[in-house]
Order: sequence, then C-alpha cells, then structure tokens
Amino acid sequence: MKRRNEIPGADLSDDALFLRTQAGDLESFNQLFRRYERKVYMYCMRVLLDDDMARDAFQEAFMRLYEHRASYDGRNFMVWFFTIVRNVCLNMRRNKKITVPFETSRANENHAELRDVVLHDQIVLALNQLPQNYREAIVLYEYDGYSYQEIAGITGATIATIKIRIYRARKMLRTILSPVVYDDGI
Amino acid sequence: MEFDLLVRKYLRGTLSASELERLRDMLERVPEYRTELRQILDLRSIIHDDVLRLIPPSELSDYTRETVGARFAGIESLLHNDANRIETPDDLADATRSVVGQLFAAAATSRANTVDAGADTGTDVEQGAVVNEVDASDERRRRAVILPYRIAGRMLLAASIAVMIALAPTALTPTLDQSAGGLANGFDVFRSGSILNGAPVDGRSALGERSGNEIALASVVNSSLTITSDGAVISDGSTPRSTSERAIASVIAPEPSVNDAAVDAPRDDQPASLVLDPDNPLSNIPMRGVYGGLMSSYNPAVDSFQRRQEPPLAVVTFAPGDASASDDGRFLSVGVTLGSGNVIDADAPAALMQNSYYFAFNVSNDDRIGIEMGGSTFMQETTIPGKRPLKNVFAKQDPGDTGATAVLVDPRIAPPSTVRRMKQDITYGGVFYDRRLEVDNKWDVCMRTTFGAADGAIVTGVRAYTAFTPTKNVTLTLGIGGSKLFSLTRGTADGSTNYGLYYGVETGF
Repeated sequence: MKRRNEIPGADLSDDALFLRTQAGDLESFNQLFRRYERKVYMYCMRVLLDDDMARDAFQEAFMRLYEHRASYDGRNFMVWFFTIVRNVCLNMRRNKKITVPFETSRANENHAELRDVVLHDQIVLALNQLPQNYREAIVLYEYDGYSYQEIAGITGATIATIKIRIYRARKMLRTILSPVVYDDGI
Repeated sequence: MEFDLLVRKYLRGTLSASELERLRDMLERVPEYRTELRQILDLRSIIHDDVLRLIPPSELSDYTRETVGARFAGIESLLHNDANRIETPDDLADATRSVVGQLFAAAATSRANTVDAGADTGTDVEQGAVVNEVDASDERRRRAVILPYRIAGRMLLAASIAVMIALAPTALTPTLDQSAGGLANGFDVFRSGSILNGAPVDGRSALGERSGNEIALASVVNSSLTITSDGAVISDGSTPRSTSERAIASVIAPEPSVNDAAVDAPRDDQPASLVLDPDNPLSNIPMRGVYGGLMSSYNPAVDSFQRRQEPPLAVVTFAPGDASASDDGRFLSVGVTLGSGNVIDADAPAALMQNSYYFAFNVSNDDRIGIEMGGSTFMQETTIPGKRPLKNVFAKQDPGDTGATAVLVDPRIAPPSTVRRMKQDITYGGVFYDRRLEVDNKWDVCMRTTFGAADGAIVTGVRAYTAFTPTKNVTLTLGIGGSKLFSLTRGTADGSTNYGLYYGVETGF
C-alpha cells in the first residue's frame, strides 16, 4: 500500500479536489468520492433508517453534486456537499413517511430478552424515536465525526443549538437503550 | 453544565491536565456523574460498533462513482448525442455502459495507486466490459456446443450429395439385368450385346422372342436410334417416341407405324403384348412412368392418346416431349415451396412463413431423395442478459407511494439474465425422401420426410401433398405438413413444432 504522500491528490483539500473535478479531472473525483462515500452512506442510512431509501439517497446525493456543481463557491466543500446530502434525505423523508415500529413499552420488558436482540437493530429503533433534528445532529457528530461548527454549518443552526441537540439526543438514546445496553447497577 | 463541558472535551480528547483533575474530582464526589459518564461511553461504543458495520456496498459505490464520474469527465454529451439518441431507459443504460466502460478501462489500472477506503474493489468496474465479457463467454460456450453439430450436419449433407452423385451414372444409363431379365437399379432396362444375331427378323413376333434380353438400348437423351451392324437398336431421343418407334418398326417389321392418336381402344386383333413370349417377364413389363419416366407403358392397348404408345420393343428412351405429362422423364427436379402456418407451442398465436428450396433425384419411379434448404419458424429459448435500468435508480419517489409498493432497483444486485421462449426464424438444411403415388397422368399424391439440422438443433418434417403436372416441365404442389425442432444446445429437450399449408412449384430435367 502506498503512503499517503505517494497517492496522487492525497495532499489536496476537498475544495481543491472538487475544483479539479469540475474541470473534468476524473481522478480527482475518484479521490473525493472515496473520502465521502462512507460518510454519506452512514448519514443516509441512519437518518432515513430505511436501507432502500438510503441507497437511493446515496446515489441521488452524488448526482446532485454534479447537477449543482456550478453553485459551489470554492469554499468549504464539506459543508456545501453535506447540505446537499441533507436536503436529499429530507426530501425523501418528506415524500415518503417512514415508520419503524418500536414498542415504547420495551423498557419494561424482560432485560434478558432485550439483551438478546442485535444491538445495531436496537440503535436503529432508538434513533427512530428521536426527533429528526436530534437524530441528524447525533449522526453527524457520532457517526460522521463532524464538529459542532461544521454541523451548525450543515444544518444552518447555531453551535449552541447543535450542542443542545446532541446532548438531548444522547440522553434520549441512553433512556431508550438502558434496558438493553446498560448494566443495572454501577 | 461544567460536567457536560468536561465530558465533551474528554470524549474529544482535548482535556487539559487541570480539567482532567476537575473531572475526576466530580466523578468521585457525585455517583450520578459516574453513571452518566458510563452510559455515555456505552452508547458511544454501540454507535461505533454500528459505524464499523456501515460500509457502502461495493456495487453501489462503484456504480455511483462511475456514473457521476462519467458526467464530470464530460462524456455526458455522448450519452445524449442525436446520433445515439436515448429513447428509453434501456438505451441510456446501454449507452452509459458502453461509454463508461471505455472510459474507465484506463482508470482500472490506476486503481492500484489509490487508497482503498475499505470498499471492495475486486469487482468489475466497467459495466460495458462486464457485459461484453459475459456475452463473449456465453458465445464461446454456445459455439463449443453447436460447432460439433454444425460439422456433423454439414458432413451428413455432403455425404448425401456424394451418394447422389455416385448414383447418377447408374441412373443415367439404366441397363437390364441379363440374367434375370428383371429390374436393375429400379428400372426396367434392357441390355443386349446383340439383338438379332445378325439375322433379320420379320415382324414383331420374331423380334419379341428376343426382345427381352437381346435388344440394345438407347443410352441417354439425345442418343440416336439406329440399327447397328449387330442389330442393336438405339433410340433417337430427338424424335418423338412414336416416330422412333415407327422407325424401328419400319426397319424391323414392315408394318404400319402405330399412330398414337389413332389408338384409342384395344384392338382385338392386336396382341395384348407385342412380345409373344408371355413367360418372359420382360414381355409385358409395366412401364408406368413416374418420376423416372423412363419406360413407357408397355401395353399398346392403353386407351388415351395421352398415354404413351407402346413401342413394339422395350426400348428405353429418355426422349423428352413424351405425351404423358406425368411421365416426365425427369432425372433431377428443382423446386421451391412456400408455407404458411402456426407454431404450435407459442403462448400467443404465432403465424409463420416458411420457405424451402430443394433438389430431388429420382431413384425409382416412385421414390426420390433430395436435399432441401429453407427457413422456418420455431419457438426457442433465448437468454436475455440483464440490464441496469439506470433511469429508474434516480427516479423521484411518488409522493403518494406508501413505500410498500415502491419498486426500486437495488444497484447492488446484478440484474439477472432471463430465459425466454421466443419465436425465432431459423435456417435449416437437410435431406428428404419422397414417395409418390400416382393418381392419374397429371395428378400424384406424395409424401415427404425431411431430416436436417439448424443452428444447434435438429429439424424433422413430414409433408403430404398433391402434385399437379399441367405441362411436362412444371409441377405444382399443394399440401399440409409439419416440422419439429429439437434443440441440442441446452441439454434439455427443448422442442418446438409448427404446421402449415405448403404450396410450391417444381421443374426438372
């Protein structure tokens, strides 16, 4: 495996890569794609909570990247692109109501039974219980690893609002998942 | 709130030494803080486990990258070129596959220089190359299967032609079996080294005594009928038989020549046979002219003037222009047949038109063999490669669609090939055997059996038809029949049957 400094375009920022991509440089686009494909995929999967829709959103997001390439102002590609991704997911979710069944009484069920359920299914169910803005904030923060400032730029909210959303999202997830995840006593 | 701030910093790894001390102090003093921190850490652990599982499928990733990359690379214009007009989603998919495949052929070589972000890069990238490779491999397999059958079919055809060519000299020069005086090669033939032993004969009676085994033949068409020094008689093919017969008669026996037109009823004073040796099997040989048409009816008492007048001698001639139309004396016939009908096992009525061309060689009065080539229609299984409906992937969701009925194409899964049974026109070649039953001098009822081969299949056919010969060299045919096709390339019995009405025209020489 080549070192990072041996990889063409590896030292270029996202902005520089996209400017080259706009000029028709295919390799730059490939680099950019590999940097963002997983982040976009995780965002779509955990915000939409529907595998088929998430895959469509994944492709649609990159198609919109091409269609709206002229609107890029040359700054902060990540925020600009993830705004596109977010809008795609919002449109899809708006057009197609998704309900993931989650029994609210699950917290009172036998803890041993709940522990047997696969955790990643539980996290999906738990995320579904969160409000949309809480969910996207926690996903951008915990899944994609973006900072409060970057999340604020993507969502258009203030940093303080993002902090509050993440805090409350964590708290709700802890409550929802407590019968499954956490020890009874500490 | 200070606790939350310190926890955030702790999770990001940005705590200073003093902040770390403060956090520890808070955790020791307040048990709820410890519980909350542990829950936060457990939740993070769950989320991080989930993150590790969330890897975009390689097909989805590659497909999206190629498609969007093609657009950025400026080849989108080729997809919408008027010369390659995109009419349907399949057209777009085909055009994209072809163009992107060519474009990323070079990109595939540079893939080794890029960082693998975890996606599986072992799958094929160029959709066009994938499809072409599938098509090429499928074609190679198909050729490996059908090639032996093609060779066998052609060898069978060549062998049939060789047999016919080998039989041709015998057919052209029929001879009489001296020993038995019977049939040789299916013909009533006569051969003799000497007719009259040099001695003149008077009248038919004397001649008849020797006719069977002693009369030399006219050999082929256009041979002349003359009396040789040894008394051999050779027919003159250019003259009507009646004339030649008269010539013979006049030479051999000074009796009035037989007038074809005049004889319309048996004459009591005329012997039933011109040969006075009834025990001689050759004396009254029925010479029904059928396909061979080499021999005329021997009995002069045949009534219609259209029947050939019986020669006084059993002389074999190939004289054209015989009065009997059915006794056309053809050696080789060439014909064309058209057919219209239906394929039996089609899901919907499947009309067909078929045609064939054939060469037929007479092997006897009633039998023919030949080679036939033509086209017909059958139902055959056809493999249709799957295509990625590019356009459907990016289609907007219908707001009214509840999702349960939404049909979305999963780009991770390669579209499967489908096998469909479709009506297909095939070209075949084969050999046939033809059997004829004469009804009268112009009408015949015939039956033909064909065995041949097509592309990776065996074709058999049966046909019953009538043949009407209004003039000497033209025969019209009309009948019904059917064909059956057995596919040999799929390993299972894949057959198809059709039937129809056949009509054609034939000529010969």
